[in-house]
Amino acid sequence: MAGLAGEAGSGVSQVVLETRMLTRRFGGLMAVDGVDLAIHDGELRALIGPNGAGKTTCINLLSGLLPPSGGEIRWQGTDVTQWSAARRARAGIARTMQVTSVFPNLTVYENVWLSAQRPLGRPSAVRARDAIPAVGERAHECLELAGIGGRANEPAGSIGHGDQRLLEIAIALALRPRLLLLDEPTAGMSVVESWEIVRRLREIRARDRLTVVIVEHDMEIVMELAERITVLHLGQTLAEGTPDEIARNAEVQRVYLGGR
Amino acid sequence: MSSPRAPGPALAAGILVVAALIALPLGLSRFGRFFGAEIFTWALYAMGFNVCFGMAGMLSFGHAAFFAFGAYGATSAVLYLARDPWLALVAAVAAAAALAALVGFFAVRVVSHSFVIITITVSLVLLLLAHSQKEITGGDDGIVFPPLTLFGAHGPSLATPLVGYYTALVFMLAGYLALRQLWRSPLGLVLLALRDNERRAMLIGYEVRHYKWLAFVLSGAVAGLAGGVYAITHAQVNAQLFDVTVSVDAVIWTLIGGAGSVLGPAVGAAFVLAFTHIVSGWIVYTQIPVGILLILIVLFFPRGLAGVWRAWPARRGAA
Repeated sequence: MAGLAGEAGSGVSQVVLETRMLTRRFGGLMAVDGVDLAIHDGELRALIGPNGAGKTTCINLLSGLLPPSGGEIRWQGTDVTQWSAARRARAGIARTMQVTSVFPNLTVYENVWLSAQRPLGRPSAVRARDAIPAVGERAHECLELAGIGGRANEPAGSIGHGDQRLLEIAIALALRPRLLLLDEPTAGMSVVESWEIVRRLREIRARDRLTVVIVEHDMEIVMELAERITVLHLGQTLAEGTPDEIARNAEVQRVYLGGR
Repeated sequence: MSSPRAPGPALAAGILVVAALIALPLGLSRFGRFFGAEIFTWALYAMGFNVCFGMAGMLSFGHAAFFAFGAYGATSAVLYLARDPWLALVAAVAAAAALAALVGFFAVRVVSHSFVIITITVSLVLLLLAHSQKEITGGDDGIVFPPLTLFGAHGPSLATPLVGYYTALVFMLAGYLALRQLWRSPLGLVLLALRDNERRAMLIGYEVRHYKWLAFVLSGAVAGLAGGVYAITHAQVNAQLFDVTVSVDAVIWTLIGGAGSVLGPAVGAAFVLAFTHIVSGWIVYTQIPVGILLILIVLFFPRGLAGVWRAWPARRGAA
């Protein structure tokens, strides 16, 4: 883990996701105010900060759910600022939502199937779904990776909250993304479930060398998982560095970690 | 849907039903055959409507426009191009699909209530136009044309109750099989996903407006085909086909039959048309008992008649 962080810091691996002066205004509120990010290939970056710091808005800008008021987003060297969320997903940017977002009336398997189908191109109107085994295999593989293979045939709306969060991760993985944006993946979960997610994320990363940007409140999890941390405060970057550097940073201590 | 199906009993039941529908006219009066053709035509229309509503989750109150455009498209082809039933049906589908493509372009850009209002508005504008432009549509009197014939100029007339019955049956069955395939296809799952959660569909790479538009056009095209079948089996069309009640019927039939399957709306159309016919012997305002029926079904069988039917073999299998 430390080795990877060093690699990212030394600039050996490529920057895959870059923002310049990324800005989002809601009326008079600057939710994100001129944020510059440079995230390296294979890095796990955590975005932390107090409530209202602009973390979720940042993720919404990166995934294309919100258009920025200003600035630029570059993904693998291409300016994607004007791209729709769907186009960014097709280009390899997958995300989970802070409030779980699945297809409640479809089965768990169908939820992941749809996502696994997407990289293969436009969905056919005439072929039977059962006649495309590659998609089904990928869907089952992702369900196993997320640890909810046993739930495949249940309606997604009927499984527990923790399982729905895992399902969202499976949906994101089935897209074969290069970048995974996780917005508080452990929100509303018990301690045991949270660490189960951490374990799964580690496994998945070890397998696919995914680049991950994670928003997380639990500092123990952040310190455990992240290779680099960006601290946001009032929409601006307060500090950036390795977990050790952030833990020692006096300014961060004052506005965010101080209370702990 | 991912679990393997046991096609045996369902297939056998399907073949039995089709065989019964083929043999049925032998025991029916002229009116019975005519009524059968009506049911099949409207059943096809309702199944088309449900691509928009039950699959993609868009409640349209304007599908009469597509049915009527199909009917008038077919009639125009007969009057101005050639007296060929196939050409008439192609024209029906093309006219309705073109209208749906245009209306859909605007309608899929808004959601929920606004979508309903756009579809109602378009349908009302076209209704008013249909009544005001009598020289084109024939108004309430409509346009009557000499019935088309099958297999050459001296073949059987499509507008006789028996030929009409089988013609409508064939297109309803073809429509059912095609839509069932759509429902089981990857595209079908994408449409079902839109009904559930548009944002999630977008976040896994599906352009939501594109697929909603596609569903709207497909739905309109099938409704138009039904309109074309209506035109060639009646050898006449009139402006009342644009009426709001035709749009509302599709919604009522689908809610009663069940929006969660391909066949549900067809079952609903057959049931309500037969029910209306029976109660019309006793009561003039048949909308009242149909309305009560709709309320009871929505309250006690939210999945409609098809939902009841689907639950039954499962319970029997468990016993």
